[in-house]
Amino acid sequence: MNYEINKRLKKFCSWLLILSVINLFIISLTPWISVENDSKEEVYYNFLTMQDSENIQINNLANYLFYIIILLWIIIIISSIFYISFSVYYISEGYSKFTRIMINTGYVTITINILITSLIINLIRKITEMDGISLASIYLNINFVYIPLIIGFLSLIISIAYTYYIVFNVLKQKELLKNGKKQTYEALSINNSKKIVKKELFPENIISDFNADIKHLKSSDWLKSEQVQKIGLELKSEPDISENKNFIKEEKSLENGQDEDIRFKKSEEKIILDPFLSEKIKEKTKKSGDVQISQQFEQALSSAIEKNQGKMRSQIPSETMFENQHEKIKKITPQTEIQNEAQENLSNNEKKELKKKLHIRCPQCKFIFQFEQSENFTNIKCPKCGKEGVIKYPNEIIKYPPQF
Amino acid sequence: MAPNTEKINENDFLNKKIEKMKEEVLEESYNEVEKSKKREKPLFIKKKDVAKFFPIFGIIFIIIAVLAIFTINYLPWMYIKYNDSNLAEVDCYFYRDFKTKIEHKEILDIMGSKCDNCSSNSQNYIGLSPEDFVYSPQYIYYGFLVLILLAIISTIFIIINKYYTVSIRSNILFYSISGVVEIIIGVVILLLCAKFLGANLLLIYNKPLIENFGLNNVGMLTFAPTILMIFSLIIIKGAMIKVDMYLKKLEKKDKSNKTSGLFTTYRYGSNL
Repeated sequence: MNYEINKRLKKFCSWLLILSVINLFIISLTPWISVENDSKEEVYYNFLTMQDSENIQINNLANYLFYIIILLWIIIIISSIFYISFSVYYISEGYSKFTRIMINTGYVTITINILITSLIINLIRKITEMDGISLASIYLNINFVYIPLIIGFLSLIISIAYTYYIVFNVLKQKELLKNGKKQTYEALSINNSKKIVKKELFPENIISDFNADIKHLKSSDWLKSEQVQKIGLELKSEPDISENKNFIKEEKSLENGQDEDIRFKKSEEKIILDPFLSEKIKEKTKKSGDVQISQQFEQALSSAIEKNQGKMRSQIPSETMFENQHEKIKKITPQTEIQNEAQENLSNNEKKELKKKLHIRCPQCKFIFQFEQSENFTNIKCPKCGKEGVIKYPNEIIKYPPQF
Repeated sequence: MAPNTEKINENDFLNKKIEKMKEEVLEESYNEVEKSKKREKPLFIKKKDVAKFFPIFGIIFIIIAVLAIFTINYLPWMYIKYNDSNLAEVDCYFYRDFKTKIEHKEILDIMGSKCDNCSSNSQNYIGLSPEDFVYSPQYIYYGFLVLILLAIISTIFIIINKYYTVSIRSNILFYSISGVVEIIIGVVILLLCAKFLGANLLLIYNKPLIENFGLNNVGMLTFAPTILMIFSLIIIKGAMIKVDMYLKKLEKKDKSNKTSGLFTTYRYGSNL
């Protein structure tokens, strides 16, 4: 739930609170009925005088008002609690529970408001049916009773709007999550960041060819090897993603069968159809900011390795290579060294990648154009429609709680 | 066949070893990334902002409550004007001596006084009984005392904040709960005062009947309740602002994070 939704819901809540307070105020303030006296003079009664009256009929009418007051107090308590809970929401962790409670309370407020309006309507009907008792009216024959009735209707509308807004947003976000689950939400969520980190440091292709390149297991040698250098060169130029896609597609279909291929196709279509993700998914991507780079980096790596794959496969490991294996493993440089060097290499590649030409789609006219970029935030203009904007890199990490 | 199988086994063994090592390296890097994420705490409100803002509310609430208690005790709750033997008289009544100082029985009669000697109790014409003048000010008084307590606790909480590290989470929880209590107290005071204002309205409507009791040209002003109503409205509004404040701060932080401003954002990294 973002701030705009929260703000609107809070407005609804505050209006519910204010209207119910006004309603209570008017109920205790205004005269409700006028009764003809023995001397045919009209005596006006408000809620308190109705309660004190010795007439049983008038007392019954006061009971109606008493029930209305209790219901209004329930609304006041609910809305005031929810008024504060919107700020508490940002610090709480049970988002899903919070939304459920919000929806349920929305239904409760609707039912209470329906009860209040129906009770007021019943009260008006009963008063009009009684002999000698009439509705107290202000000037121009406007009855006092209609003021709380109108306020009751207003609060009913607001409570309906409140629940509709919550339910609508929840359903919308569920759909968004369903649509973007496979390609964005799951891949870019924090829970899966472990996998992403793994891919960044050791892409699958490198891992598969690791045995073939076992002689260069020393980190310094391995990082200076042909593979890595080729990758670096490849990143300097614009990565040919179309080729990579085909390659990945083929590889996936060969490895995991047809299902994987279909799944990949679907995800690919989604990416092309909607590269500008919805707000919810955008926030998720911002959280794991450098994921986008890692994907491209991976693709670039895979393309570079694919070109040299023939050569790599031809290099059959010799028998001597596996001699004294335990000793060789011990000789491998410390883990931190590998890690640092790999990270350095990655960061250098990222920097190189940022300087390259980018394909950008205009959010207004959907026109795709190239753009050269070196800094993180620069204003750009669409050559077709002239829409101004800011290019946003995934390095930017924005921290606030995830949406429901 | 034997050497080949040995080779394969050796190869597998080596692969497993390498995989294990890679896993360890990756685990470490993953942990580092996680740690860095944890270090970057969410951009909630700074403690300085909290300390700057909240004592104002505490002081305002204390001042209002003290003024309200002063009005309950030292300002007249009711001015009543009537013509007695063609002479206009104005009586003012404080809540403590309401029953004892009433000289005219007619005034008690219009309030539905219950006397044991009378054949029938008089009807309540203005919706106020003499008991209301005694008990409602007491309830209002207790309400304002609770408000003073809350304000004092909140100021103490801020002082604690300055010397000890209290989390923002507990800060927000405390101020929102106290805000709700203040709102509810404000509403209760407002409704307790509303019946005094309602009595004014009913007196205007039932004026012809009341004149039959011998109180000619009667007029009433409930002075203290109207002032207390204004105070209660200020308290409700203040409590709402207090609760809103944190959200507004969060919004500001959020807006500053978003670079868009007037521009639209172009997203980098789409697979085109």
